Amino acid sequence: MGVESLPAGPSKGHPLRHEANWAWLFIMPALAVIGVFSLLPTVGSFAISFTSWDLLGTPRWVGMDNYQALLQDPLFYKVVGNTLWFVVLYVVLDMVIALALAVALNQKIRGLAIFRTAYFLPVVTSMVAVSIVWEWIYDPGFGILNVVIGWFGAEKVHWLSDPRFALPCLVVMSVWKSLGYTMILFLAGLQAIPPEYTEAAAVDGASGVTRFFRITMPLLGPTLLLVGIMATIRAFQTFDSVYLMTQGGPRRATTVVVYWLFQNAFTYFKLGKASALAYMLFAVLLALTLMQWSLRKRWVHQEEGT
Amino acid sequence: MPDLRKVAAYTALTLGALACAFPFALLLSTSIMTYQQSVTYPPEFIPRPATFENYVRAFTSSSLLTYFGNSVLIALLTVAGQLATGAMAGYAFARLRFPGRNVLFFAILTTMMVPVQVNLVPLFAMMARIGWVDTYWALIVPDLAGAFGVFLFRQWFLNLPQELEDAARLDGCNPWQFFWRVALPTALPAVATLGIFQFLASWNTFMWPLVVTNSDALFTLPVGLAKFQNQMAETTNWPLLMAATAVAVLPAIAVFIALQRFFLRGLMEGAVKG
Amino acid sequence: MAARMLLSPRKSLLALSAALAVLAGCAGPARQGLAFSTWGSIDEMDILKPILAEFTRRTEIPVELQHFPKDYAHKLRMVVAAARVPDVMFISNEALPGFADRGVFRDLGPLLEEDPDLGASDFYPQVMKAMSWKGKLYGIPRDLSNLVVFYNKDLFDAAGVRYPEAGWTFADLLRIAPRLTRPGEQWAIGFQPQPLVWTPYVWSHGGDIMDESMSRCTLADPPALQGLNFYVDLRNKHHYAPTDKESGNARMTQLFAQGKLAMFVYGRWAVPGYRKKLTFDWDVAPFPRGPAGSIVDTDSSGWGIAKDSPKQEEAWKLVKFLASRWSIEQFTKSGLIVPSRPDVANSPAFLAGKPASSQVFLDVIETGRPQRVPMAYDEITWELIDNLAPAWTGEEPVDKAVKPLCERITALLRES
Repeated sequence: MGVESLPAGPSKGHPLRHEANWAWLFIMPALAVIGVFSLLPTVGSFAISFTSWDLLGTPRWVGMDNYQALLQDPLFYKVVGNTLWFVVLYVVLDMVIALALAVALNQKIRGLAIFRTAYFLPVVTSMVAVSIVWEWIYDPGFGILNVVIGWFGAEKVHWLSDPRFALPCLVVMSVWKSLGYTMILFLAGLQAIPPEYTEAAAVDGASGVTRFFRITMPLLGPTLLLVGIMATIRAFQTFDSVYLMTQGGPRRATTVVVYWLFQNAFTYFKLGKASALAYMLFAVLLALTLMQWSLRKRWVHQEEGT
Repeated sequence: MPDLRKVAAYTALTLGALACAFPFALLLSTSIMTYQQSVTYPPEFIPRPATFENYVRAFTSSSLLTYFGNSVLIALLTVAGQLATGAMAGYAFARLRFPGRNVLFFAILTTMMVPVQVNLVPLFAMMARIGWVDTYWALIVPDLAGAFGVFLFRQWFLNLPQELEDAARLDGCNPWQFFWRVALPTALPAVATLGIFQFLASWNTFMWPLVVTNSDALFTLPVGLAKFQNQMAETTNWPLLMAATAVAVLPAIAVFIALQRFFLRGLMEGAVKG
Repeated sequence: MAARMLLSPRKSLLALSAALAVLAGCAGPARQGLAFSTWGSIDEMDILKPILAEFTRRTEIPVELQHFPKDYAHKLRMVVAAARVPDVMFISNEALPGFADRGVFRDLGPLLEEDPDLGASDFYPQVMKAMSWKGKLYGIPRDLSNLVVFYNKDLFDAAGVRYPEAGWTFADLLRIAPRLTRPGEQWAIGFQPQPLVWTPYVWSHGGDIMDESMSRCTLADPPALQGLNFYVDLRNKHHYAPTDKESGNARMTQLFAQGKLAMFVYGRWAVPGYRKKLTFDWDVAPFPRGPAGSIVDTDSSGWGIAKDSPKQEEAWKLVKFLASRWSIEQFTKSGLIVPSRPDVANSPAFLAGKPASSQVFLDVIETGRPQRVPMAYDEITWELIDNLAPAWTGEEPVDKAVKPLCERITALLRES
């Protein structure tokens, strides 16, 4: 990535007077669509965040009021708290389980393709479909989870309507969905580590566990950080599952930032407040994305270097 | 003496694979139950007798066919659009020289840093103002091009051997002819990668169609499924819902299996996008 | 070559912008006649369409019907935002402030005053008030929406209990309820979590959700708490009303139709369905009296005119026609509405047919009042439903659940 220079040319023959004009023709469609429907709204979102607007009439300038109001709203802190709680649970679970599976997969396993296909079924399925199926799994009356815990004599739990369990249930489902993706990324990271390092340690008598934690893990550092950041960004953007399964409840236990943004913008038509919230989210995700990109560069070079 | 590590590895992987596959099995098995079977306790997981009536009813008691058609239409159009615009722009950024090239590419790249939720409100307001709310325009046009496609093709075309281009120039090819007849045919892997990515993204996207449409005739599968589930709020008929969900899920899985290789390659590239 | 013509970047940019502009403007051909938006079931459309046809026959003004059966207020907002406001719009008193405040509707007061055929006195004052915002009238009302107690006469007969009659009290309710309850099979009264349904309990105890200026939540004040506690106790203490588990996700109206509820609080809109479906004898009675009286809501829906419509005269003609005696009678005859016009209300069009005591709907108008509708109405309703949920299930005492709820509502009221 980064903007490499064009190979030297034109060295022979044909003049390229019209090259620039051709270029415009080539980029115009992409530029027009991206400019109008992506760049423009990003700028627009910033502007709207300083107004009060319900889509009818014209936006009314209110300066920093939306941001101030958010920071003084107890619900804002609850939403942020919910989101952070979701993110932490999700990232930890996702990474630990995926890493364990990637290590397993790295052991020169046969049937790699079959495993990979199975693990990717959740990844390519829409979150809507996943939410519907898991809602059935979590169903208090006849869902399989309560059936299974019933075998052990436990009472039926109202998973999604209990404020204690609702959010963790969403996390478990999200981890399940992205496990294959995270696992593949870790696998790539593991495979980039030259086997000589661990083999040398084995010759020196180090046990498998020691080898893993003293050699593999440190070398996996950048990968861990990269994957962790990507998982964090993904977790911050949770919306579909909340909309389908809990609608932000019970008692706001599962209202995460993007869901609250949706309610503010499209249920209550507080476009200014929603945009301010979006930009605060943007600030957080931008910082994470920039970290991810700089790490990715290093990762690619690490790969290319081996 | 069996390698304990390998045994542990196989066990862990198999358990994980079963955990991943299990909900899909549940989806299918529930979809062939009758409502009565789904509300009996203790439940039978392999319904005897099995029935396909839910699949029939899913189509007759809801607009599932409409949703399916919409999803197909939008997926095909946006894939075509992204391929066309991405390949052309990627080629230009990679192999043509023009003023402002770097600045423009950087501008396009920055859009990859912006989470979609930031653009949601203003894009919606824009759609409202120009009267595109609840129309196919709103579902298709904003997704006809994207930074990821431009980025992907640019990466690909940067690796074109210079000799190919020089030879073409000698033959008097203009950039379009070179692009169409020489460069693009070599880029089929990139086409497949972007194709499957955009197809899956379009097939599975939920928030934007939810926000920008509210007529049954325009719903895509994810939105239609959500509304279908919503209608049943009082007493959810799970088998019926599972049948509808299965219909929504199978095409994506089929496409994935067919183009697995390209999808995985694209994932690695997409690690930048996240 | 065509490519060469497009090669100037400026030209191609212009061409593209032009194309986008054309696409954007693709709104279709210019409107003929009046555009009229409404919600409503298919049955309602079957009543409305002939009325519109008759209007066109008499005035030669065609009417383009825009029917949004679901999410009406949301769809209307989209249409307004796209500058394609219908000339005449049907609107409920809950949705009215959001649009009136933004100048979408025209002030109809002066029009009504000057009109020779239609006047404010043709309608109940309560619905005129419901269709007003900040002192100005923005809609001509079609109906009056209030709550009564539907009751199953057969169940009362079987238990040997006298039917509820005008002036009966909460004490009477508590007295007869045990005789109408057979645990697990039948309950004396229904229980619904919607604010609309429990508000009469609060009002009749002298409380309210918010004060008159709509700047403070009053749900934590003693009278309101009394009302809420009375309501919750019906279910959780006395078990005269079914719990969620017992009702098993069926709605109260379904339970009533199944003959499992002796009474429940509901509105006129159920009548057409009940006339067709109910297999037992039924009637309506006023809401019981509490310490502050028997007070139920008096909401309304009506027709408004777009302020920016270029067809003001024709639009008023349509509204007048829709609000005329004949037209309101058509809506009333199906049993769907309590008419906004006393002349229709006091005629057989409304009073004939089941329920035999339709007069009750009219008797309670005097003491009723519209819901308070602040700008943040939708958000407040969401908070009310979400925060009181544990109180309804008995997990949390009402007094405890209400305190944070009230703070939240006051904050929302202050925000607007």
